[in-house]
Amino acid sequence: MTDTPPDTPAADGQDETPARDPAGVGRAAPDGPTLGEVEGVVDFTPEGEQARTQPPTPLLADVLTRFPDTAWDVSHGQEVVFVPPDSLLDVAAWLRDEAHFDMCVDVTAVDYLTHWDRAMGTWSGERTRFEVVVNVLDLGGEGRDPRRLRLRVPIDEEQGRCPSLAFVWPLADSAEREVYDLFGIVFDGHPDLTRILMPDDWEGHPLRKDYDTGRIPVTFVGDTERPSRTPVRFEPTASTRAEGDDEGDGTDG
Amino acid sequence: MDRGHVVPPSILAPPTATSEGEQEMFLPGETHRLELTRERGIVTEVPAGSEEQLSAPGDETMIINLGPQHPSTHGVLRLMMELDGEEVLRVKPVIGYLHTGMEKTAEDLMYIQGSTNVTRMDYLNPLGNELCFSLAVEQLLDLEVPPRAAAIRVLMAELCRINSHLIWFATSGMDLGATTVMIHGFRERELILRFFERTTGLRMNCDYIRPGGVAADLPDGWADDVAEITSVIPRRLDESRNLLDDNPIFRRRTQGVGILTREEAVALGATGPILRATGVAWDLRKAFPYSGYEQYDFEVPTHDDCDVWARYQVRVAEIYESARIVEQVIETMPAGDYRVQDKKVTPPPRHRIDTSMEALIHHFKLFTEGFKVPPGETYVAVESPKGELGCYLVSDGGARAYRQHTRGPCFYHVHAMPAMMVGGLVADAVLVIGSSDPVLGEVDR
Repeated sequence: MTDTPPDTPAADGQDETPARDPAGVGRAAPDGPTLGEVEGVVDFTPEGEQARTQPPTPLLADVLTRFPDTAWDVSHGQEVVFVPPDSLLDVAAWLRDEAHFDMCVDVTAVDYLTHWDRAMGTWSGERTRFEVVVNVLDLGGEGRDPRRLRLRVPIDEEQGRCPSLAFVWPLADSAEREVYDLFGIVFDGHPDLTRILMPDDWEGHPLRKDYDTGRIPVTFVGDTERPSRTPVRFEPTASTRAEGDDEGDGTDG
Repeated sequence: MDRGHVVPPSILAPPTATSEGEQEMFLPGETHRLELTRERGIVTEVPAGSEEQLSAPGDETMIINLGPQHPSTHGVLRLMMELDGEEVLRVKPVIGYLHTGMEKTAEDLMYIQGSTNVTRMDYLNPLGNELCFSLAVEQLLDLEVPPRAAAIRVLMAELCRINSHLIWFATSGMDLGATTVMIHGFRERELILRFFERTTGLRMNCDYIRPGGVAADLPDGWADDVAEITSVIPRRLDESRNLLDDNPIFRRRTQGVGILTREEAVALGATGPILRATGVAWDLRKAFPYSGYEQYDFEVPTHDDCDVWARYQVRVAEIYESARIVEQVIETMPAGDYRVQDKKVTPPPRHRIDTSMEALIHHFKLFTEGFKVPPGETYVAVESPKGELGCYLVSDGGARAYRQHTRGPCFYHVHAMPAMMVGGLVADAVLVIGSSDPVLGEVDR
C-alpha cells in the first residue's frame, strides 16, 4: 500500500478485480481477503478509504451509479448489494430486464437479533434485525460469462415488511411464503401469503432467534379436544376455557 | 367455507380434521388473480382475453387431493387439483408434511456436526448435501482441501448422482407400471450402497464429507470395487433401457407430456435435468467448477423436447457421464492426505490419542467445543442430481452456524409442477411428479 502513487487511489480496487472470483463457487482466490483483513486492520488513509468505497467490479459499479441508495460488499469473492426495501422492486426489475439476471435462485432471510455488529460493506443506513437475502443468477450465453449476485435487504423489525418479488421472478412466490412462515416477514403485494411448511394455526415464526425451541409441544391440526396435546403455555382459548370448566378449581371461569 | 367439494359437506369430516386451512386450494372466485394464474400453470404472462375464464367458478369441476399418502407422490407430497373429468385445470402443491426444522437444528449444531444434519435433507444424495455444506464452511474458513480429498469428494458425489438417478429410473418406471425396471434400478443401486457402506460405514446419510476433507481414507481395494460399479452399471442400464426406449407404450405416455418451456423453467427456478431438458446446457460443474471438476472430461447432456421424455433422456445420459467421471477419478486419484492438515479443523489421528495427552485434549476440545469460523456469509452451490443445491451460511464467529439455509432444487421443482401438469390428464400428472424427481426431505427440510 505504501508504494502506491497517491494520485491513483482507485488503482487498488481496480487491480484486485481479476484476482477475485465473482463466480464465487470456486475455491477462494489466492490473494482474496485474508483472515487479517476480514477481522481487523482497516486502512484509514484517504487512498484506503477510496479503495474501500469504490465498487471493485463493473457490475457493482453499475448498480451503485443507477441506484445511489444501495451499498456493496464483496464477501469471499461474491458480489453483494445492499438494497433498501423501497428500491428493491426497481433494482430487481433492472437486474432482470437490463442486466440479464433471468433467474432468481433463492429468497431467504436471516434474523440478526444477536449479531448486530455484522459486516455490512459500505452500507451506512440503519442496522436492522432482519435481512432478506435474494440470490440471482445470470445463466450467461451470448458471449457473457455466467455470474451471480446477492441482494441483502435490511428489514426493520417494527415494520417487518418487504416488497414481494413474485411479479419480477415467479419463483419468489413459494420462497417468500417460506420466509413469511419461518420469519414472519410480510411481503407486500404477494398474492397468497400463507404459511407453507408449518400448520396454519402454528404460533410464532420458528427461525426467529427469540423463538424458543421446545417451548411449544408438537401439536397437530384438529386435536384440540385432547387435553394431553393442549399447549403448555396457557392462554384462555376456546378449548382451554372449556377444559377449565371441567376441572373447576382455581379459575375464575 | 365452501371448499368446492362435490360431496355434501355434511358427510365430510369436520373441516379441521385433515385441513391445512389457508394453504389449501380454494374456488377460483376466492383466489387471488395472480395465484390463480400460477395454479393454472401460467408463468410468464396472462394471455389476453383469459381474465374471465380464469375467475369463472367451476360448476362441473371438482377439487381433489393427490397425496400426501399416495404411492405415486414419491413421499408425502400433496397436490390439490381441480379436475374437469380427467383433465387437470388447476394444481396447488401443499407441502410441509415432512418439515422437521432442520435449518433451526443447524443453528444448534457445531460445524463439525453439520454434515450429519444436512445429509438427511435430500436422502438420495446424502454426499452431495455434505459436499455443499462443507464447501460453504471451507469458504468461510478460507480453507483449501488437499487434492486427494477433492478427488474423493468428486468420486462420492458422482456415485451419489448415479444412485439418485437409478432410484428415479426405478420409481418413475414403477409409476408407469413397469415393475421390471423398478427391480433393476434398485438392484444396480445396491452395488453403490455396498461401496458406501464399505467406505463410510453407512449405506445412506453417510456423514463422510466433512469440513476440511473427508472422514476417512478410501478402503483398500476401492479401485476394484468402483471399477466394477462403472463397468456393471452402464451395461445393465443398457438392458433396462431396452425395455423402455423403444417401447411404444412408454413413448406415447411420455412424449409431449408435462411440457415446461425454457422461459418457464428459468422463471420458476427449475434447474438440473429439468432445465437441461429444455435445451439449456446449464451445469454448475461447468459454469462454476468446484472441487476440481474442471479436471474431468464430461459432457452436459441436453434435449430440446421440454417434456417427460426429454427429462428421461437427459437423466439416463447423465448416468453414463457420471460413470465416465468416476473412471477418470480412478485413474487420476492423487496420493496424499484425505483431510486438511490444519489442527484447528482436523482431529488428530486415532492412534495418537492412545499415546499423546495433547492429542487427547485436542481431540476432546475439537469435539466438545468445535472450531470457530470467522464471521461472514457465503452462498455456495453445487450441482446435485436434482439441480442447484445451495447453502447460504452465516457465521457470527462462533462454533455454530448462525444461519444455515439450504436452497433445495426440489422445493422449486414442486412449485413448478402446476406449469407442467395443467391441461394434461391425471395419469400424466403422475408422470410429471416422477419426471421432476422430488425428494420431500429436501422440499420440507
